[in-house]
Amino acid sequence: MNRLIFASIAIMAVYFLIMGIVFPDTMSLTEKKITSPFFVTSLDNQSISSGESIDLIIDSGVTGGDSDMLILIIGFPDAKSFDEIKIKSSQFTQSPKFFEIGDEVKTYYPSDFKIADYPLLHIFNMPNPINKKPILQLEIFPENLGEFRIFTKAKSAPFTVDSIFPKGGSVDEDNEFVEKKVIIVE
Amino acid sequence: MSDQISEIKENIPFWKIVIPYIVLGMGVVLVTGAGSWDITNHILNKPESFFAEPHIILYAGVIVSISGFVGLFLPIKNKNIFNLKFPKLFSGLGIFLLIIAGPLDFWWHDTYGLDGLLSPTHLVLMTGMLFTSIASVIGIIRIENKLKRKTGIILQGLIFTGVWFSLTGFAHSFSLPFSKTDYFDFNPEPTFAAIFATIVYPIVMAFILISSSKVNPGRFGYLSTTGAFYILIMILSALLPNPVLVDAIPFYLLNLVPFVLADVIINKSKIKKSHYIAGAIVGSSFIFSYFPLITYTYNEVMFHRLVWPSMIPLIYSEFIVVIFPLLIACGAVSSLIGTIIAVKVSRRIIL
Repeated sequence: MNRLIFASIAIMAVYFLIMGIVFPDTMSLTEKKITSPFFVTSLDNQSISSGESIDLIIDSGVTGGDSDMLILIIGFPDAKSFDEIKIKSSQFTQSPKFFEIGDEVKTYYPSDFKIADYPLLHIFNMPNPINKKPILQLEIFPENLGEFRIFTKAKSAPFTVDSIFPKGGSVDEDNEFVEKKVIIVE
Repeated sequence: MSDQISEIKENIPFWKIVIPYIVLGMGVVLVTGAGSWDITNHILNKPESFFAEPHIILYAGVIVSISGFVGLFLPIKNKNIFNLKFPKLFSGLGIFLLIIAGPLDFWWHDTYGLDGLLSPTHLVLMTGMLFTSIASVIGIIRIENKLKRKTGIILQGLIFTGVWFSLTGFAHSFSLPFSKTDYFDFNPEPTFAAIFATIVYPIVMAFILISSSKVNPGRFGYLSTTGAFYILIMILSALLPNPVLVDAIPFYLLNLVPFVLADVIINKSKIKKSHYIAGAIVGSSFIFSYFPLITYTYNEVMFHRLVWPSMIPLIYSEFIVVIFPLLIACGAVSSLIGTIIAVKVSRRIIL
């Protein structure tokens, strides 16, 4: 009986040692993924006539490895509502989130963007493997004459200083860089 | 008189009467295994649809359980000697809850969008799973004891795993931060969740594993097999689907060690009240057996970081080295409650 008890104590001690120290030590060697998002935007035209629509195509992806999430955040400061924007096609798997002016902006990332000042589109893939390069095509129908601005930025998770794109340019309400595209409506 | 009873027993087809209870329990194993896989898919944020693979297996499990329940009413002579009124009634209640959980959950999704882990309709589903699996265990054990025959280690181990996962579903609901939606925030308070997990998981483990052994007194292997099936289902549903956790599988398999050891102590040793030692052994290993989900519970109270799927190994490795000695001790102590319940419940089952 004593032998069994001593053997049990020894076995459990080894088990705890492996599971409590060796296992986490091995797990800690798991490579921390540092991924960076990217995108390229293209417009049919720089200017359109009033009443016409224009297509915006965004090619996106991540570098550095598979990402837990790739999110495109697209703002339309000169739009009044999503009546002016339509998703023509999307290779993103999750349902997009549309925030109209005055909506509470619920994000998957740390953000100061609490209430939407202008229509804001969040479209994302969870996860986004490195070989997946989702394309988004938007059809835009500007209502007003003049400038119609489009702010685009991307983030990839886990979030690090590298997991945001672009790295320069205009700044949005979240105090982060965005790529600015301007359509002139004549 | 006793000769007559023996004759009656010999004429009762064992498998014919026990199979419906096995099918009943197998359905729950499918439902709970699929539920575990579904949680993993939610963690991985995979796009969800009504016909996602885990959902199909879950629905199939409900159908299997229903067919088992129907089988309970097959006409068999002298069936009344088995004292199966309670398991039959309990399984009826469980099946009823499983059936109504589907449309209720559909209505909840329709009204409130995507739901979290803890929702009224999920509680209905989990209660249905629990009642059905418990009924299955009681039915099988009572038939076995009456006819002095065994369904075998494999079948019984699987059925007990169904009860284990059903209870774990409740424990997860009140300890994992997966229940915040656009409409409701049912997430447990982090400190409560951590304390709850530390107490309840070892109780569940000790209760299930000691029960599986106590209803088969002196028979080595039942406890180990139940534990082995738990490990297998966890590997298939929680580790393999997440690529970053595949490397953890060899370590996770080591969780079989405390189960086998507890089985040896409870069935092969002559130590008095050996079930308490066995319970403490299995309860003390809860922090490793409930990997990876337990990472979310303790992260909330220790780091409060956003746990992305790829970060689970790193976050787990950060907190486990700090708190595992304390959690081992807490697990061993909490398991006493599970063991006491197991001993009492087992006596009632084999009556």
